[in-house]
Amino acid sequence: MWKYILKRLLLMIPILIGVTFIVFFIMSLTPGDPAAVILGDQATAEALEAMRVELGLNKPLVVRYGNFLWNLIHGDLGISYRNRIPVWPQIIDKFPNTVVLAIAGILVALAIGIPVGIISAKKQYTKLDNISMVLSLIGVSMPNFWLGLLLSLLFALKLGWLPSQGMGQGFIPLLRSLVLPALTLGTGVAATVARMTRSSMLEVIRQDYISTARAKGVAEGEITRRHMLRNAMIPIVTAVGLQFGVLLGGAMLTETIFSWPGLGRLMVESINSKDIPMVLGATVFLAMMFSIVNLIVDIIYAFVDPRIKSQYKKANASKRVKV
Amino acid sequence: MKTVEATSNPKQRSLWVETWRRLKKDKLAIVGMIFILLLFCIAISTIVIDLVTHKSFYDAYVIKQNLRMRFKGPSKDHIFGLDEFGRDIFLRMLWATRYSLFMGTFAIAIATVIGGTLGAVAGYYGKATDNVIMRFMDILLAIPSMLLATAIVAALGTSLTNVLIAIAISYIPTFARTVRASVLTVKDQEFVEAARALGASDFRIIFKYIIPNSLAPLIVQATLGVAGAILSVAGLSFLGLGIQPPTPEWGSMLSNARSYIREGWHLTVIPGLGIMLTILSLNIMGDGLRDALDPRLKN
Repeated sequence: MWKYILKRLLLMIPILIGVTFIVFFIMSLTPGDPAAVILGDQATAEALEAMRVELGLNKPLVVRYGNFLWNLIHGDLGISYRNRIPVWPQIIDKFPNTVVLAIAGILVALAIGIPVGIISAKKQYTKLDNISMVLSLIGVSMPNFWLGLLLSLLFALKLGWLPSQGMGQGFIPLLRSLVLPALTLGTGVAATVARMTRSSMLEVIRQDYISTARAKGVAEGEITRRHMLRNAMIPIVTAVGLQFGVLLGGAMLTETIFSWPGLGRLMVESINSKDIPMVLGATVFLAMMFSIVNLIVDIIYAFVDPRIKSQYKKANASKRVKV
Repeated sequence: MKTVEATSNPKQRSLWVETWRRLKKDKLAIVGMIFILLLFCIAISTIVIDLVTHKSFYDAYVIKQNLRMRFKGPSKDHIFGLDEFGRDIFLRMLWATRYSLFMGTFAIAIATVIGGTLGAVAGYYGKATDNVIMRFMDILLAIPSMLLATAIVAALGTSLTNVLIAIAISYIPTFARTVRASVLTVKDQEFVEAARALGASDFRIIFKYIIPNSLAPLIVQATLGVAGAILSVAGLSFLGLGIQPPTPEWGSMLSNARSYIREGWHLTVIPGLGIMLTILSLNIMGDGLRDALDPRLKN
């Protein structure tokens, strides 16, 4: 098992280097002279040249990337053009808000998606199943920024029940301000989870061991929980994990709609003000988080699925025999 | 001769005719398909109208402002109502169709050709070629597609071409993976070996024998991909990074509506409904195609 984790960790390194390089390369295509952006219009030619040297812009791309990577490892992502504050602390400041939102979104998705999927599978081809599958198809197809607008139109403007802008301070205000963004972010994922849960439940529902359990007289609820759901969980865990990564990166739209002070909104603002170091830093950071979340999902996957675990055990056992 | 035709016919029409026969039974998928065809007709007609009238219709009705009538709700004259500048939302919806539809389709077409070729080459040659191509794809896949598209547009600037490039690039790895997987299942089959034994070149084997036999998953992936790409176009425009006003586009219409959400519900509801129905149609069409192409996957 540890061997598997170690192997996956080592495989992460080239991926992360590749990701940072691609993002760095894309950002280096930005037209315009960063030195001019920083110093403004009145700068003299000498000052511009000095600034370019200071920023390392006179060096080739690969060297600049090397410097960027070196600084990145030391937690230095440069200085934002917009407010002259280092990029790294700004990211660290906003990231927890994005994580809170993503977790809330996932919780909404699980709370809706898994029960709907289970009921649909157990009542396959009934009206209930048809209705929930049509609803989940609609949920998958609904652009979440539209859903966000509709929710704030209804619950914030018409009914006045919940706030639609910003993040509340204190526990209860925070929860209240989380409801609409979390629903916005979670609905699409809930629909995906419901569809996945249904299809993976259907795969196990007619297995022989289920009949055996029934024949033994195990209660139906226990069969669903222990025999069906546990086996059906594996693809669901993967899907949810992948979606979590997508939520981290894709919170831009939701955060913009609800003025949520997260990394996504910071990124959109930075793009609009052409703050390249900030955009570069935030993109690299989010892409790295996405890769790390995927890695964690893969490791959880190995723990949930005894077949992967035993594969590694067997591999070890056979090696021992050979020696 | 006639008997020969009769016996060879069922074999000739095997996959595609069979697929169509099964697809016809899936009423939902057909409804989706008709809706998409309708959208294509609308998009093409509006382009034709622009060409014939030299945009005078567009100038006089689609982007014409009428500030006295702003935020007016749906009525007999304007079935979807009027927007913040008193422009007819119904006409703007029709004129916006082309951007979502053609940009989504075109981006996926580019991604399919580039990703598909890379995947086919990787799967067919294997070894180092496979490793180099697929590791590169892994890296691209490690960046969430919306993030990648945003970064590209942020760097290159907002223009139709840049949005198209951004979305196409973010979809390349998905297609490379799909095609590679199906090439791997096809490449060791006997008809490929036979072609090789007859002295066919690698190029011929890939394009004549392997790709046609791995088309099924690619078509399904492309249909679903267009849905995703349309969402990306709308999302980027919503963030102000896609199609710029006053050009009507569903995402940017929604983005404008956000500032006037108090003034009229129809400003928000209608463009989103347009996006959702399009995505929904593509999704049920994709699901239907998948079931029709490979009935074993259906449950």
